Amino acid sequence: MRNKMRAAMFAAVMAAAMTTGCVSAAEYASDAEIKVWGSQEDQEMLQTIIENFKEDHPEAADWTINTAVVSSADAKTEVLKDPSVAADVFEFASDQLAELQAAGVLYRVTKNKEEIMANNLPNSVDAATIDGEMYGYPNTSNSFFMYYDKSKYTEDEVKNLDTMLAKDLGDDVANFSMDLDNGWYTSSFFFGAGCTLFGEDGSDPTQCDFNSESGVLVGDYLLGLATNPKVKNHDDALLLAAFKDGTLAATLTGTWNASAIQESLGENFGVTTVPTVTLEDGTEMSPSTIVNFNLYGVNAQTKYPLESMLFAEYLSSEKCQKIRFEVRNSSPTNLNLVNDTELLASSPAVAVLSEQVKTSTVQPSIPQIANFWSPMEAFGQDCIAKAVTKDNMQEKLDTMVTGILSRIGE
Amino acid sequence: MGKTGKKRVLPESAVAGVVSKGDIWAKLSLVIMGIANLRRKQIVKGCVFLFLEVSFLLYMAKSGIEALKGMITLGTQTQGWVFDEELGIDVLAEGDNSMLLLLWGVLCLFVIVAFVMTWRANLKSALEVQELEAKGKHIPGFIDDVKTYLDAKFHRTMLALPMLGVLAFTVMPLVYMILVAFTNYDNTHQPPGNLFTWIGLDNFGTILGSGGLISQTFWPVLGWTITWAVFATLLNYIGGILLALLINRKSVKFKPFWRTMFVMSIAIPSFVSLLVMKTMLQPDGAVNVLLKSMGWIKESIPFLTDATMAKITIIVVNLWIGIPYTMLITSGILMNIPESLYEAARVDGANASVMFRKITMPYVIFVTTPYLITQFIGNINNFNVIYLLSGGGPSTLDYYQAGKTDLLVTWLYKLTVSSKDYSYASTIGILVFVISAVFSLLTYRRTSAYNNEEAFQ
Amino acid sequence: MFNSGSMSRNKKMKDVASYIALSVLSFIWMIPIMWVVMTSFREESGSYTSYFFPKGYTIDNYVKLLTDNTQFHFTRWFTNTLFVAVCSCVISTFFVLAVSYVMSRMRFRMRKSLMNIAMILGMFPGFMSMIAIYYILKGIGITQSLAALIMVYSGGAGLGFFIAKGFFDTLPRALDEAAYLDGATRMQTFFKITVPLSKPIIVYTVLTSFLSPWMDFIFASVIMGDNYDNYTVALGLFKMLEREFINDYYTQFAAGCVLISIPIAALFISMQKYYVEGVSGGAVKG
Repeated sequence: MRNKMRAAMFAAVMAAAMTTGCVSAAEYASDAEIKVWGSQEDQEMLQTIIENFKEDHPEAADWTINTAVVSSADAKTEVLKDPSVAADVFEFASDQLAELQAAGVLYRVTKNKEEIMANNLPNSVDAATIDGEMYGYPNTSNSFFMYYDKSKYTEDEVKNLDTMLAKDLGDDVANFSMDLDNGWYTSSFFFGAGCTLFGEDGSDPTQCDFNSESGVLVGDYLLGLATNPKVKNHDDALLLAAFKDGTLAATLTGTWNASAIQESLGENFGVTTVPTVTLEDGTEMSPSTIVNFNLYGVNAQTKYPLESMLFAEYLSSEKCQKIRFEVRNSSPTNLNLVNDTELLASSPAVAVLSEQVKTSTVQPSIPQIANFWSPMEAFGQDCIAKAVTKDNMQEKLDTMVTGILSRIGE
Repeated sequence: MGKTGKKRVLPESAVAGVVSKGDIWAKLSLVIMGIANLRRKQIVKGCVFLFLEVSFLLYMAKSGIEALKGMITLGTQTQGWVFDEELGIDVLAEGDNSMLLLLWGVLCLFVIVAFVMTWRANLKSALEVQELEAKGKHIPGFIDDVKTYLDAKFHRTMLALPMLGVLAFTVMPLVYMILVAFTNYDNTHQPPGNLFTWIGLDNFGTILGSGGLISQTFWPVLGWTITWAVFATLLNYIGGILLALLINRKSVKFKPFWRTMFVMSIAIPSFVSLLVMKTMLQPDGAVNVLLKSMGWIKESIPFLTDATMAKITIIVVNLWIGIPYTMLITSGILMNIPESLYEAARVDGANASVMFRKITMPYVIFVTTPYLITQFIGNINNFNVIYLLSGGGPSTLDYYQAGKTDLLVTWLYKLTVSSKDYSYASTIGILVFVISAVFSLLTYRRTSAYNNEEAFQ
Repeated sequence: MFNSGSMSRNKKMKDVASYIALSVLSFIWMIPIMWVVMTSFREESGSYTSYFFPKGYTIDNYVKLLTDNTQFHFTRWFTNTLFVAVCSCVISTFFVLAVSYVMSRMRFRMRKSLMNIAMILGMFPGFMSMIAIYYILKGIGITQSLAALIMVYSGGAGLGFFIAKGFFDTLPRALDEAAYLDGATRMQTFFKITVPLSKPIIVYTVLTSFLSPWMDFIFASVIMGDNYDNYTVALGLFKMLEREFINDYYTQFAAGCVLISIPIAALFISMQKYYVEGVSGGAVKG
C-alpha cells in the first residue's frame, strides 16, 4: 500500500514538474564560465551587478563570471582581432553593429526578443536591428544637447538659436559654440531639415542627399555660423576652458562633460534640448541630433550561448540600467526609466538627453560610415576658412557628398 | 669608382655535385639526410640531420599539406548558423577563416624553404666528408665543428639568433602582408563571417590607374611624402652636424652640460612632446596667444590649419625632434677621429679650415652616409610626427580619406584602422616599399661607404 | 701662437657668440619640456588653458597618480615598461652588435646581399603586419604577456645594424690583425678588443633600444588586448587622453610623462661620460 502511494506521489510530482516547465532550470549549464568586458570605471559596478545577478537567478549561483577591461569603443577592434578569445558578453557602440554582424561575431537575440523590443526606446531597438533581427541588447544612449549659462540666457531665449545669437552679451563673451568641423554635430542640422544619410534606415551606402535644396539651405546656415564672430568653433577642451573663464554662453556637447561644466557654472548650470533654427527660407526646424546606443552583444563563438544571453539580458534590464544611471550617470534606454521624470530629476543632463533622444537620428553603422567623417570635417574647415561661399555652396556640397559615398574601386 | 674586378666563382649546385661526384653514401643522403655523416662517424651531426628530416615529414603530414591547400583556396566554407533543437536557439557552425588560412600557408612555405636549405647543407656536408675521407684527412668531430663556429665561421654563430628573430617577426609577417595585397580583404570581406579570395593585380590597377578618387589621392600624397622626407632628413642632418661642431669646439667648456640640454628633449617620449606642441600651435594655443599679446600679429597664424603653413610647421617641429639625435651620433664620431690624422696634417702645415674640409667632413660623411639613408627611409615612414602633430590634416574634400599633410604611411594607417580596407592598404604599402627600395639601392651602391669600406680600415 | 691682438679678439668674439648661440638654442629646446613639467604641477584641471603659466601649483597630481590605482594602474605599468625596456634593450644591443660586427669585419659570400635585404626590409611600415605577429605569438602561446612585448620589440633588432656597422668600419683593422697574430680566435677578438673600443656606439644602441618600449602604444595595444594589468605606460597614458578622462586627468598625464622621462634622462646622463672619453685615438701608432 505504502509503495503504491509513494509511486503515485512520485508520478504526481513528476507530472507537476513536467507541466510547470521546471525543466527550464536544467536548461542552463551549472558550471558556465563567462567573461564580460567593461570599461575600467565600470569594473566596480559590474561586480555589484554580478552579485545581484546571482541572487536574482539561482540557477547562476555556481557560474564563474569574470570581468576584463575593454571599453565599448575598443570592443569592435578587440573582438575582430581574435573572436575566439574575446569575451562572451561585451558592450559596444551601436555604430559598430553592422561591421560586427557582417563579420559574423554576434549572436542574434533569440530569447525574449519581443519583451526587449517593447521595453526599450524604439530608436535603440532600431539601432540594434539589422534586417529585422536584433543583434544587441540596448543599454544606454549617447547623443548631445545644449548647455548654457543661466546668467546669460533665460529659459525662453534658449529655445531658438537665432534669438540667442541676436542677444548682445558683450565683447569678450561668445554667444554660442559648437564643434563645427565635426560631422557628429553638424549632421544634426542636415537631419533636422529632412536630409537622409544612407537611406531611411541607414543601410544604403549609395544614398546621401546632403546636397539637396534643403541641404543647401542648411549649408548656408552653417556657413553663417562659421563666419559669425559671436560663434566659436570649440571642441571639448576649448569649451570647457571657455566655461571656466566665463567667456562662453552656450554650447553643444554630451553628458560626459556634465560634471565638469557643472563645476564651472555652479548655480548657473543650465541644460536644454538643442534649439530650433530658422533657415533662410523662413522654415523653423529642430535639429535632429545623431545618436548611438551602447549595446550588449553576445559573442558568436561563445561556449555558453544560453547562459551568456541570460546574462546579457540581465545587464541591460531595467534594474541594471537604473544602477548604471545612479552610479555612472548614464542615460537609460528602458522606457520606464526614460519616462520617470522623478528619477531623472536628479540628473538634469540625463533628463534632457532622454528628451533629445526621442527625436534623434540613429547613427548608421554600415562600413561606409567610415568615409563620412573626413568630408564633413573638410567642409566645416572650409567654411571656417571662408573657402566656401554662398555662390559655390552647391558645388562644395556636391564634392562633399561624392566623398561620403566614394568607395575604392569606383 | 668602378667595381673592383673580382672574379666570382659560381657556387656549384649541391645537388649536381652529389649526383656527379658523390659516392653511394652521398647519393643516399639525397633521400635519408645525415647518413653520409653517420657513416663517417660524425654521429652528432648525422643524427641532427636525420632528426630534422623526420620532424619536417611529420609536420607536412600533420598540418603542412592542409595549410598549403588552404592557402590556395583561402577557404570554401562560410560560417553558418544551425538551429539546435535542444537549446532552442541557433548555434554557430564555424566556417573557414581566410585570414588564418593565409597565415598558416605562409608559415608552411617558410618551413619548406628552411627545410630545403637544411637539405642542401646536408648534401654539401656529405660531399665534404667524402672528400676528406678520400684524401685521408682528419674528419672533424663535433668538438672540432664547434670550434670552427667560434672562429672561421663565427659569422654564422653570431648571425643565427638575430636572423631567426628577423625571420619570425619581420619577414614572415611581411610576406603575409604582401600576399594580402593580392586579395580582396576589406571591410565587406571580414572573417570569420566572410571569406576573401585572390584577385591578382586588380588592386594595383585601381590605385595607380583608374582615375578614381583614390588614384587622385595617391600621387599628391606620394609627392608630399618625398618632399617631406628630403627636407626633414637634410635639414636635420645639417642642423645636427652644425650643432655637434658648435659644442665640440675646443674653446667651449662644459661640453657634457650643453649636450645634456639637447639630449633631454629625446628623453621626453616623442608622443608627449608632439602632443604638447600640437596644443601650443592651435589657433588659440600658447604660441598664438603669446604673439598676439606681444602685438606681433593680429589674427592667429594657422599653424596647423592651413595646408602650406602646416607643412612648414611640421618640418620645423621635426627639427626640434631630430637634431639632438644627429648631434649625438656626430659627436661620437667627431671624437672618434684619430688625433694622429690631425697631427700629421698639422705637421704638413694645414690650417683649421683645410683640416675641416679634408679630414673632418669626409670622415663624418663617410660614417654617417648609411645613417642618412636610413633616416631618409625612416622619414618616408615617419608615422609619429605627422599623426600626432597634425593628424594628417587639414582635411580636404579632394582626397579619399587623406588630409593635406598625410604621408603614405599615415594614410595607410587610416585605411587600415578606420576603413578596414586592408587589401588596398597592403597595396599602397608595397608601392611605398618599391619606391624606397629602388631609391636606396641606387644611391647606397654609389656611395663611397659601400664601395670603399676597405679604404677606411 | 696668436701674436696679433685682433686675432685673439676675433677668437673671443667667436667664443662669446658660440655661448650665446648655445644658450638660445638650449632654451628653445627646453620650452616644451618646461611646459610639461609646469602642467604636471598645475592645480587647475582641464586639458586646455588660455594662459601659459599655471595659476596654482600642487604636487597632488603626482600623489594621485602613484597612489590612486583604481582607474589607472600607473605604478604597475611603470614597472612593466621598465622590465620590458631593460630586457629588450639587452637583447637588441646584443643582436645589433653581433650583426654589425660580422658585417663589418668578416667577409662571406652572402654578405652584400644580406645587407641589401636588411636595408629593404626596414622600409615596410611595421603596423601593417601587426595582426600576423599577434597570431604568431598566439601560436607560440605567449600572447598578452610581457614576454611577447619583449620579443616584438627586440626580435627584428638585427636589421638596425647600419649605424653600428659604420662605426665599426672606422676601427682600424690593424688591431684585429695584431690579435690574430697573437693567436686569438674571432670570438675572443670580438669580446676582448672590439667591444671595449665601441663604447660610443654601444651607448647609442642601448639608448635607442631602451627608448622604444616607453613610447610605443600601437604594438602594446594589439598584443595586450584586454589584459589591463600588463599594459605599458605609453598605452596607459594614452588611455588617459580619451574623451571621458582627458579633462580630469590631463595634469596627471603630464605628471606621468615627467615620471617616464626620469629613467630615460638618468640613463642618458650617466652614459654621457662615455662620450667624453676619447676612443682608439692613439692606440695604434703609424
